[in-house]
Amino acid sequence: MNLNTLTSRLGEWLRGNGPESDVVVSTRIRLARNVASTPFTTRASPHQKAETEARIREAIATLDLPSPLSYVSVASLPAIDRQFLVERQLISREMAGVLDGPRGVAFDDREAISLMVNEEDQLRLQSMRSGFDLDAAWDAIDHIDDLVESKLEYAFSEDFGYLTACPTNVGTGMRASVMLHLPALGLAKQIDKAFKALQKINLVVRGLYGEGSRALGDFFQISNQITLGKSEVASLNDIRSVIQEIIKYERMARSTLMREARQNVHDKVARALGTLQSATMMTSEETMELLSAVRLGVHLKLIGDLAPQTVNELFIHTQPAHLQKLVGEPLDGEARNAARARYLRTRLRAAGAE
Amino acid sequence: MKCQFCPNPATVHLTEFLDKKKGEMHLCESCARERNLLADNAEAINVPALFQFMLGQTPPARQSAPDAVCPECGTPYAHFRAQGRLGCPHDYEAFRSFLAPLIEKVHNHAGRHVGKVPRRHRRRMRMAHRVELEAQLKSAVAAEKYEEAARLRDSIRALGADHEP
Repeated sequence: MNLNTLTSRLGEWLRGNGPESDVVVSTRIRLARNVASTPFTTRASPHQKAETEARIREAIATLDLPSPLSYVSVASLPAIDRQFLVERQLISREMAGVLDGPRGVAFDDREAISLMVNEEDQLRLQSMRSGFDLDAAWDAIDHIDDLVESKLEYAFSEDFGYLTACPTNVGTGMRASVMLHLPALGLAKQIDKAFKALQKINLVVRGLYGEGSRALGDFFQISNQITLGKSEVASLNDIRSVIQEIIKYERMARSTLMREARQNVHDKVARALGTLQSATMMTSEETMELLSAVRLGVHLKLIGDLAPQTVNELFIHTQPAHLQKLVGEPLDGEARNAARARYLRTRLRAAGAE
Repeated sequence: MKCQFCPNPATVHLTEFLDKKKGEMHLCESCARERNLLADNAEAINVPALFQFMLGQTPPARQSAPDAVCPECGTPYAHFRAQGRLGCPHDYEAFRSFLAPLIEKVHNHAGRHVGKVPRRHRRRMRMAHRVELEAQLKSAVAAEKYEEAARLRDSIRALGADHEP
C-alpha cells in the first residue's frame, strides 16, 4: 500500500472526539500473544521469523472483519516510512528501529486496529479509540483476539496465562494506555500530586510516544503495569476509576484558572497562537508545547474558529516524518524547523484563528 | 568513592527507580560479583538479580545461577539474565524454579493467571475434566457406590450440556 495516502487523513486516535475528549486524547489497549511451540522473536532465526510472519499473515488475512486490514512489511520500508508509522502509533519504536528481520503490521482504514507481527512478541494486537473509551477498545480487541485464536494456537499456560517474551507482560498480556492532556494541572504545578496516587496502585506514567519518551506539552500516557493475577476487566476498572479522578482534577484546575487567572491564561494561549502564526523556525518540542496551550485555549473557548481536530492535525503533521512527506523531500536540522514553521503559519492563517 | 561493602574503590554504580524512589549503589567489582549483580562473562549487568537486590531480597546463590538450558529452544537461562527476554514459551517450564519468584515480585505478589483463557485451552480442560469424571464414575459403579455414581453422572451431563464453543 502507498503510505502517502495516509498523510491526508487522521487516525482514529486523533479524531479529537469521543468521551471526555477535553482531557483524554485517546485510549489504547494492546494484547501480547505468541504462537505455541515456536521460539520468541528475538531468539528466532531469520528463517523461523519468516515462517512465523507467513503463518500469522495468512491467519489475519482471512479474519472475518467488517473492514479489511492492509498488511505492510516493515522490514522492507525505508526509515522515513517506519518513522511515519511510529508517529501514527501504528507500530512501536522498537519495531521501527531495534528489531530486525521479517516483520510487519496490519491495520484497517480507520487506523483503529493495528496488529504487529514479529514485534518482541510474535503478535501485538492493538485497538485505538478517540477519547476515554476503555470498553469499546477492549471489546474490539477481545473479539479480534478470539478470531485470531480460532486460527492459531497461542502459547498459554494455566499458571502463567499468555506466555510472552518478557515476563513483565505474562498473564493477560494486556496493556491499556490512556493518553491525557493535563495543561491546567501542569500550570498549577499539581501534576506530581495527581500522579502520586498512581504509584500506589501500580499504574505507570509515560510520555507521548511510550517507554522512555519525555512528557511534552503536558501529554501523559497512563497504563497498567501488572498483567498477572488480575483479570482484564479488573485491570480496566482500576484504570478507569483513576482516570476519572484525574479528569475531575484537571477540570477543577481549569475552572480555577478561568476564575482566578483568566487574563493570564488568555495571554498565554494568545501568545502561543501568535508564535505559531509568525515564527520562522520551529522545533518539534516547541511546537508541542505551544500546541498544548492552543489546545487548552480551544477547550476553554478562548480561541474561536479553531476545531480540536485541526489542532490534532497540526500536531501529527509537524512530526518529522509526516512533515517530510508533506513537503515531499527529506529535510534535516534547520531546514526541517523552517519547513515546520512555514507549515504552521500557512495552516493557522488559513484556519483564521485568533 | 568507596565501595559500600568494603574499603575498595567503587567501580560499579547503579541507579534504579523503584516506586519513583531513586536508589543508588556504589560497589567495587568483586563485591558486585559476589552479589551476583554482574553477568558471568560479559560486563553486562544481571538485570533480574539487580531487581531482586533492589527489592531487598537475597539474590540467587551462585550455585543456583543455573547452567540450565531450555530443551525446546536451547536458550540458556544466562541469556535471559543478560537480555531480560526468554527464548520460547517452554522456558517458563524449563526455568520455572528461577522464574516463578521473579514473576511473583514483578507482578505484585501475583500467584497465578486470572482472566481470559483461549477457547482451545478451555475445550481441552473440559475434555480432560470429563475423562477424569468418567473414570471416577466407572470405579464408583464397580465399588457399588451408587449415590456417588449418580452425582458423578450429573456432573458429566452438566459438562455435556455446556455448549460453549
